Amino acid sequence: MKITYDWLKDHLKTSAKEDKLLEKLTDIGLEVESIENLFEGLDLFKVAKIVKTEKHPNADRLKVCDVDVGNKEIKKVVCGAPNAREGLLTVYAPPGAIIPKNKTKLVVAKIRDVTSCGMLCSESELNLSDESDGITELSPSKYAKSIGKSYFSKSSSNLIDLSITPNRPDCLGVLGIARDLSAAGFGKLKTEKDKKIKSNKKHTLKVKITKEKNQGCLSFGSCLITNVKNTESPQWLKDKLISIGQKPISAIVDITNYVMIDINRPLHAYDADKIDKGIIVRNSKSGEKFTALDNKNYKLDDGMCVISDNKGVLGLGGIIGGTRSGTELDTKNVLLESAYFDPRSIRKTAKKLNIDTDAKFRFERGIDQLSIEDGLNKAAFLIKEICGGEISKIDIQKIESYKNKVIKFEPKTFEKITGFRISTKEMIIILEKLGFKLKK
Amino acid sequence: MSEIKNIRDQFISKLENDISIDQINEIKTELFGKNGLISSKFKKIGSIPDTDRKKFASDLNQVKDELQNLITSKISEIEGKKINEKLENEKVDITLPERPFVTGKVHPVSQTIDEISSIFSEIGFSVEEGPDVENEYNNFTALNTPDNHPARDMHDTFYLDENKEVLLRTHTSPVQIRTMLKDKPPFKIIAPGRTYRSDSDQTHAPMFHQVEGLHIDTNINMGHLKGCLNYFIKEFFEVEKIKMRFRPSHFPFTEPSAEVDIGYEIKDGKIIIGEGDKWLEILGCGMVHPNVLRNVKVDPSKYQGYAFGIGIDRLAMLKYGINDLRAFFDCDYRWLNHFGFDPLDVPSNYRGLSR
Repeated sequence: MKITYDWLKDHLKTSAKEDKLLEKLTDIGLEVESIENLFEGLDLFKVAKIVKTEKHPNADRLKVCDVDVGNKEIKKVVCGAPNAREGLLTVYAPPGAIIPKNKTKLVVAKIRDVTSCGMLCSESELNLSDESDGITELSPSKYAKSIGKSYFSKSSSNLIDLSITPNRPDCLGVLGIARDLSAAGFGKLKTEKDKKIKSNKKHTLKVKITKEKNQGCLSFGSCLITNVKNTESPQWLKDKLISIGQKPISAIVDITNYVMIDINRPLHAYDADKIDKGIIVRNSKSGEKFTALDNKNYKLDDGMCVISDNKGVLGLGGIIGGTRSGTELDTKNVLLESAYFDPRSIRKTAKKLNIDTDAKFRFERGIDQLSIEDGLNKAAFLIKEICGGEISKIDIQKIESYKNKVIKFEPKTFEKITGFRISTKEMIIILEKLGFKLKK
Repeated sequence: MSEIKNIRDQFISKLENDISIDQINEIKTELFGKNGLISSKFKKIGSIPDTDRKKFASDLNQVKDELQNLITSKISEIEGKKINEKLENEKVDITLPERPFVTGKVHPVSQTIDEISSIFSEIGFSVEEGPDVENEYNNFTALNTPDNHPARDMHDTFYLDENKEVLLRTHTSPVQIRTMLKDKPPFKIIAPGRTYRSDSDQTHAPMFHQVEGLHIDTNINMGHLKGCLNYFIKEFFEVEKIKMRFRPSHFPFTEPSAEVDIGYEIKDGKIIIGEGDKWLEILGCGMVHPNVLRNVKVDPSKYQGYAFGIGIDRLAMLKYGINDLRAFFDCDYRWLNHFGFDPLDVPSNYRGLSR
């Protein structure tokens, strides 16, 4: 589980130094495996403007660009990108910079007899996206005044990699980690309630969980968001995902990933217009096929939990979605899924098909069944905020209603097992901070 | 009478010649064998008339004694001669170098097991053993690791059959189960042995060694666990003080569970145990899960206690400055000679564990 201290502070009020945090995390059983500064050296990457381009004298596809890198300095850079043109604002890496994608260090080099001083970078080379067809294009309205300034916003937050033991699925989200820290006396948990969806709009896609033996889906919550305009994510969201080493894709996908990491609630977004009539959650039949979002074709056995429509399989519940109903930049209507799948069923299917995803990792360890609505609320509002649109009522289908677990806890057992005493009063404080409701 | 005299004269002259031991033995048989000349005369005593019998017998005995004495002295004379001859001819060259000989060495892992056993037996643990080939129940199910538990992912197990019922044990913990099923509480045991996981790199070998510890009684708590491990680590590394931390962790068979780290630092390229600000994980432990006790018919409301599992190879590497785990299993004679131990040096707490 990868987190940053900055992200933790979304949920935790604290002014302690980072080394104290690392100590505390390991102390409470969330072992810090490694710590890494993703931004080291990135301040070298500057916003720059191409002032002149000429054809390379010895190569047809290369251009020699005069680049304004600020401070009235013009550098000659050889560039092969088709979109390198006069007036373009882009990202310049000087000699000595290390390219994030392949970790190579730039040096001054002669390319076919022309000396190139540095490099203009594509988004893919900067690990910002998969875009590698040309160099980064920055919008003039935002960056015209930033020529010569660092492209990456400085972040002092290190990437902290935690090793979470299988008994702690609650700590597979930043919120859960913050809660654990606060119970251990490190900071105070922020408890602002997320807004709840209040809508009169009807949810027009019918969802049905079939009643059959070994049904792997116990409940399926969803809402429709209509008339959205999917776009690139805003900077804060991109920065969040990049800070933990993930690549931003599009606002809708980024939001579902963000909510999963933030509150440990896996979600899936479908393009509602690509779903034929309604959703049917059922067991697969041997021989059924579908193409998953990892671009692989899977052939299913009997009894795997699938999300399907009239035409066939859309995705493997809680494991991976399919390409047929995936959201794209032109997606207009979104069906947001927030469901609960049985860990055994997830584990069996994923093992058979040899798929490992973040969602599968969480579902097989156990997800909070009561987070279905929280996830829908949080993600739907973010989508509305970023992509516009209208949110429908929430629909929750279930084949089994959730019962709160009651744990009998005898305070004396604590001393008997551990050999030391803490007061019952203190125990109550800790348990309540962990979110338990206590009854005598 | 003359007959006896004849025999006597005849053989005395024979014996007076220069004859060999074999010949003497032949003569002995000829005279005193079952049907020997003298023996047959003795048999005749009964058939001789009363008047002559006494004289005959006395003469016969006289001749017998004479001949026997002669034979005995002749034999010792010849043997004496032989020994003298041998002594004359044999000389020892005390300037010769001794013959070359090779001694075996005790492997560092075996030495470490001996050291560990010695330390724990001092504080009342007895040593138990279990088989390397285990059944699935003892290795997983009885230890509270159900079928679908993700903890089974942590072990990549060598299964020996299609049904995944027989396997090479992935830890020494099944010995806990065997011991508790066999006897009645209290238990206070350690179980060193080989364990197997499908994993291989510089710090993981597919076969490695663990020692299991188990102490179950009516009142054993985590404090006892801490004290016991602290004592063990100090004794093992032969240091006065040790920096040690218990870090919460998770194992299906203990609750609560902890991993134990010891402090170390690197000074002049050497690792120094017990001080410094770096941490090194050396073992896993915890209070035995009530489900495990139930599985072995021990009442968890009456009995409780701790268990731990220590990687022996890791300890041996640390104590004896061995860098690569794989060297343990290379069987390189030169390596064994360098890192091995004298077989006559049995580790004990009073005489010192290692020299």
